[in-house]
Amino acid sequence: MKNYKAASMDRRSLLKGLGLVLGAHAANTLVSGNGLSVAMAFQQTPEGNRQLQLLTASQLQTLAVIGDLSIPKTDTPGALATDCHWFVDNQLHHCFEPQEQETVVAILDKIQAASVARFGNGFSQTEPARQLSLLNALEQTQQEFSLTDTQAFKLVKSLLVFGYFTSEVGMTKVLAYDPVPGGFKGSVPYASVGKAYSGGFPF
Amino acid sequence: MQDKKIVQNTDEEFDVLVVGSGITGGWAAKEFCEAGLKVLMIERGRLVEHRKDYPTEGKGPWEYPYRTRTDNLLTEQQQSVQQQCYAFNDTTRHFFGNDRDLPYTTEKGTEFSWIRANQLGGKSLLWARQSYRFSDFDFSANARDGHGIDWPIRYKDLAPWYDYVERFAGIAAGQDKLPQLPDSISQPAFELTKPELDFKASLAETFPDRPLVAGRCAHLTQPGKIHMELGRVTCQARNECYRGCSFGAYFSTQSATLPAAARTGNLHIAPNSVVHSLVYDDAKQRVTAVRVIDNDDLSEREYRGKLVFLCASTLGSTQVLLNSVSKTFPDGLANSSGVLGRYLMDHNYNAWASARIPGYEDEYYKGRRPTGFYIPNSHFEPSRYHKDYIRGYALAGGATRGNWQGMSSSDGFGEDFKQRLTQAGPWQVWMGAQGEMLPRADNQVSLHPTKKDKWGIPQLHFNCKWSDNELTMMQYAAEDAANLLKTAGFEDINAQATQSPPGLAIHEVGTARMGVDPKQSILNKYNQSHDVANLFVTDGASFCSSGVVNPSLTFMALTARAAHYAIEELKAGRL
Repeated sequence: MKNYKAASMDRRSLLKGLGLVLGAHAANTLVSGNGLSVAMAFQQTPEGNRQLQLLTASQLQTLAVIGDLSIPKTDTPGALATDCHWFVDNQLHHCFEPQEQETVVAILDKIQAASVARFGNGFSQTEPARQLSLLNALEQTQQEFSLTDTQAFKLVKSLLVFGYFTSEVGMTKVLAYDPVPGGFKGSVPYASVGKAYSGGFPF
Repeated sequence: MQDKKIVQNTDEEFDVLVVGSGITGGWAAKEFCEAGLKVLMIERGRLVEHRKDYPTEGKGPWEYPYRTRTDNLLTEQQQSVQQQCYAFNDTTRHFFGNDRDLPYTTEKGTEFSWIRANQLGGKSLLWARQSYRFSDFDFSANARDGHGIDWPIRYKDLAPWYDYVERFAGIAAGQDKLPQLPDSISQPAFELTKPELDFKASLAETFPDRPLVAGRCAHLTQPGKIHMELGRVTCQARNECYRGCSFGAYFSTQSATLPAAARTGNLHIAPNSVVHSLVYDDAKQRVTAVRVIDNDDLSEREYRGKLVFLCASTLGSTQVLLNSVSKTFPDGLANSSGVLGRYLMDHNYNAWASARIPGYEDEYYKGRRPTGFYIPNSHFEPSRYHKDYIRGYALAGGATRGNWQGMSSSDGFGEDFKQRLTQAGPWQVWMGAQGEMLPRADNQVSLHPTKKDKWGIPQLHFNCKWSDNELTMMQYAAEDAANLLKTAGFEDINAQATQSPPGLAIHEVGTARMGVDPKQSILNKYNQSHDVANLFVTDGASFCSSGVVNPSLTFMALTARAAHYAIEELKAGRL
């Protein structure tokens, strides 16, 4: 777990790390979309004592890239470094209905299939500019994507965003963290805070 | 200073047996202990020690496996009813009951959501802390429009006791001078935000009968000596109250009444003691003991006492009375009138409205306010009733700025998207209705003829539903709330009347009502049983009507008043 986390600090090393962890054969399998064998390989790696709950390794990769494109590393860590893709897999398994789980799985598979059809490569093996053009088409309900797909993608994105802004980094470094405000003032200049507070009940 | 004494098996006869440890049980115990009486507080659940047993307090969401959400399967199997409560999540679930152990049945075609908090402190740990006095309009409503029976008390009877409990509890509130909402002895109110202040000013101009005030809540904003000597300090505006508060800033049994009772040396507590019934002596015409089943090993024991204060929550107290049968009272103790279990009420939360408030981009606030604003009932007397329904509702809400949660599925990628989500969003306002429910004999709890819980106690059977009056009121409340927001110039207005069953306001009251006439009521004007002199019921079961405001402050005042009446009666040798 620790090794995987270290290897996933940014996008490039994540993808590189994937090759290291899975080996060239598995990486090729991933490109060809054979999720099951990749998932098996993924789970058997000595570095990873975490188990995927719902997604295949291929779907997790697609999710990781979506997270990275949505919330990149800036002066603060992004979705990759905060393991939002792993969070989504776990959260879906424990806190969501089967229908919602299927919706997420289906749209991740559709993104993968669309990438293969458009670019001849799996989504995570594709150039970032092409990945972005594909996700923009999805968000705007264009080309091969239906309104149902766009709605499904909103769920994926909201889960990644939830994972990010409820992470320790998201709450304490990215947003204005004020665990013990000391009292309530009804009016302060927004500029004196400069960003949104991270919490309310329950967070 | 002395501490509470924990009791399990004892032959001792206590001066007072207090059943329950929530808001009313805590008050009863405090008043009797301070009067020098030896008190046994009987609690069905485990001990919860102030500060020590608030395991989730101050934890960030990242410290929870599902970031404060709960596991579906676990919730479905153990807390499917409890999870309907707005305060239920992974940070609070340990203060809610386990539905597997707390079964109840509902009449076909009806539903009731019974929220349970069975531990020392009860629902005082989980309450929303909103605190308002009933007015004379509330106490006289039944008499004036003919629904239910008249309350045997008026505002002047309770006013000094509101003063009394408010000084001790600490109520943050304004002095608003409204006839339908008498002012409290208050600590400084929580401030309104700038858009709320402007909304208030706009309402004053366009709807003079719809004043907007700061939501009154049981939080310390300027603690005095009586609070600080119990270890209570100023509210820090964390708004994580439902997890327990080590600052003791909000009123709970643990923060306030329990330490006050314990320091007298007179407080004894019997935890894990599920009350099965009260033992009635037909010859002496008195309750002599409380029969309990051990929460853990299901063994049976009794506690003896001279006086019993039943403070087990509205439905808990009524269940105990219904299950206490004797030769004199075959249909439940103190039930010569036959109305025990009837006239169950809750508040109706089934209407809301929301809007976006344009502008105020330079405005923000500091802290997380544990209350909001409050627009009291404008239909507070028959001449002001709406033509299509009787009684009325209040609107409670707040205006705050959105955050990433409102933008989490919005379009865009990369640095711009990330940056946008870190900024405060537009101002949003939300208001929910809290409507009065009429007292109706058909809305009843009874004991199930065959089904029992694991302690061998017959399950409660609910037959309770909203009447057309309540349903119609909520339709109008949603329209009204939307209209107030629209007239104020707000945008993107949404409003809805919803269909949740009774129970979820967690303001259940009635079922052992007070009254002047022993043939129509269980309790007299001092919450004392008409039939059994040494038995008092001071929780919500005693209510004759639900009123419009949140009931807990009235629970406190009724309990303190009843306790002092009982103390005087004891001194005079009449009890």
